[in-house]
Amino acid sequence: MSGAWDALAGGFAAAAMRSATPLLLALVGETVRQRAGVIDLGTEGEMLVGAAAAFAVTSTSGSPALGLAVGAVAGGALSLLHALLCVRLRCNQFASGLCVAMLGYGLSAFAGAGFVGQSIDTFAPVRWFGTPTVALALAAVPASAVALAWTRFGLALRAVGESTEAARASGLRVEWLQTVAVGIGGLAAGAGGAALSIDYAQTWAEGMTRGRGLVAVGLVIVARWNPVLTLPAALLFGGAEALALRVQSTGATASSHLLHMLPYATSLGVFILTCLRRRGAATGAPAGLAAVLNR
Amino acid sequence: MTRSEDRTRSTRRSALTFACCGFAALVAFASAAPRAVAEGPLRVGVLIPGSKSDKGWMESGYDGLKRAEAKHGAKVKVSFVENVKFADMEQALTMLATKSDLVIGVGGQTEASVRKVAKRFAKVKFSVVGGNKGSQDQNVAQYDVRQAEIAFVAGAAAAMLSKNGAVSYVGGLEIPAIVNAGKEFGKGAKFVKPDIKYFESYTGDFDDVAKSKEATLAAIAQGADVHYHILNLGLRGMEQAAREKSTHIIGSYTDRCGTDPLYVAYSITGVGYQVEYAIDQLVAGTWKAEFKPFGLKMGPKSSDLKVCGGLSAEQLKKLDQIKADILAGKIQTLDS
Repeated sequence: MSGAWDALAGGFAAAAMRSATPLLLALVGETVRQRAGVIDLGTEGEMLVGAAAAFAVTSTSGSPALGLAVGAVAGGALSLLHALLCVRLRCNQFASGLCVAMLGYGLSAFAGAGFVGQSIDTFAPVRWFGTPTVALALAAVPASAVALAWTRFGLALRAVGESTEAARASGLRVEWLQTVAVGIGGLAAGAGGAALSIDYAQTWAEGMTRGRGLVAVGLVIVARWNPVLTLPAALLFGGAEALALRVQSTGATASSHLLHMLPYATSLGVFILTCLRRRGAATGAPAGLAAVLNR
Repeated sequence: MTRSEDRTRSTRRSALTFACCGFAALVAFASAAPRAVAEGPLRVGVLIPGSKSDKGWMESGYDGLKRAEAKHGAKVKVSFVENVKFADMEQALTMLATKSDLVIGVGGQTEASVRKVAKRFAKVKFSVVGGNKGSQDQNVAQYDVRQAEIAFVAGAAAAMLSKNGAVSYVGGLEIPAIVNAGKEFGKGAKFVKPDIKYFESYTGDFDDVAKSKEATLAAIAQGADVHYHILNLGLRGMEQAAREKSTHIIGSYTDRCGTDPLYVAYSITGVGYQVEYAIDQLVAGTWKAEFKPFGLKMGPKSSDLKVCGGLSAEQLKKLDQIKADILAGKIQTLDS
């Protein structure tokens, strides 16, 4: 029993945070976007280009900090395509997002092909947090919460997310604000991908995010579009992922397929529970998203 | 309905019928058209589902096709595609089959698509490296790598090399071939040390680096200090975990002893050897549609274990005895 307990508990908190960090960065960015009324299914592609760019730069320059910065910028740059398509040209947001995701997948695979199998030197450890990317992800949570709740820019973003007509009538530059929100989300997604490739895995592999970008888009709903709740949402998913692997190593005879469902089932369960408890109350979704979903 | 609408409908119907007949004729012609007689070099198309730089199964397959190319020179012309997702396999195999005399699928995951495409290209030969027994198609050969067999020997070596008395295995997909290898690895370890601790887990993905790192760390948390695997790019994650915690790995597919102190041994599974074999048979004119087990009985290039160091002469002798006992049938292992 003590062996099994060691497997489950030993380093579990660290494992959950490690698993959650890339996801948390993408989740914070997507929350900002959705609060401005834009859904981006291309988060996965942005994470991948961020991961590939960060690894390539770190490998050639020897500087993981530069790699992280370039990874973030790469994700941001790709996200601007989504902004162009859905904010400026009014294309369907889901279609645009999927195009960006596929483009990101292909671009990252092409650009990263020469770096498969290479190793890099990563960040030096940071006290309390372990690595700088964990510190960055944890800092992004209160920073985005404060920015959205207590700054003029945040207020403007929220107003746009609630109603573009009302925002426009009050003099706000709706398209510009939504484009900036999309760009911020892209920067965060790119940073999340970079954290995965140059910090956590310290390698590049095609498609290495394995759906974490799409998970981030879904977890925004579990977090109720509240930046503060992105941390527990990401930890819930990351922790369930770490737990699924740890349960297997205790020798439990549970099917690995069922165990791998755990993160998704847990997130869905929490979502359903919170919906039931708050029936009739505002769900937290920006009103402007309803127009996107109903289109 | 007016006469004009009636005529329009009739015209549309005729056009549609004509188009369908034309298309059917085209398909029939394309299927029935005799394949051009192969002149010049024999053409080989190879489908590698993963990355040819994965330091594992796929890279071994790629190395094999390169060796065959070098060996046969102008007699063969080899083309390959890599990183092919499952949903695209049929299309990729069809593309290869239209311009090849032999198509090789490197991995059991290609088998279903190979069998489907092979039915449409009766005159093209198909070989599946890592294939299963199943029904025998007239133009498909399946080569059994017998990974579970060498995993037993790897388990025995791991038990000898482990200082903590705990070893672990991380597999990708939880499918019979991968599960059997894991079970044999555990059995091999217990064969040498009955009280050894053994941890087994499956990430659900051969290429998920993050999950394989977590799975390895979970095993290390319980004391495992020698790890085995069937992973592709996911191996990078295991390497990261082992490097962080100063444990060791038994590598797979190719002997790379001396290149990385992280690896204490390598189990050789001749994926590339089987690719070479298929091409050799084609060139010699002796290619056969058959289910062919490889494994230890086909020699060290097909299956072997190389220990990089850390074992005594007596222990190495014991490993050789285990291999001999497997060949003699005294030790039974699961099928791949």
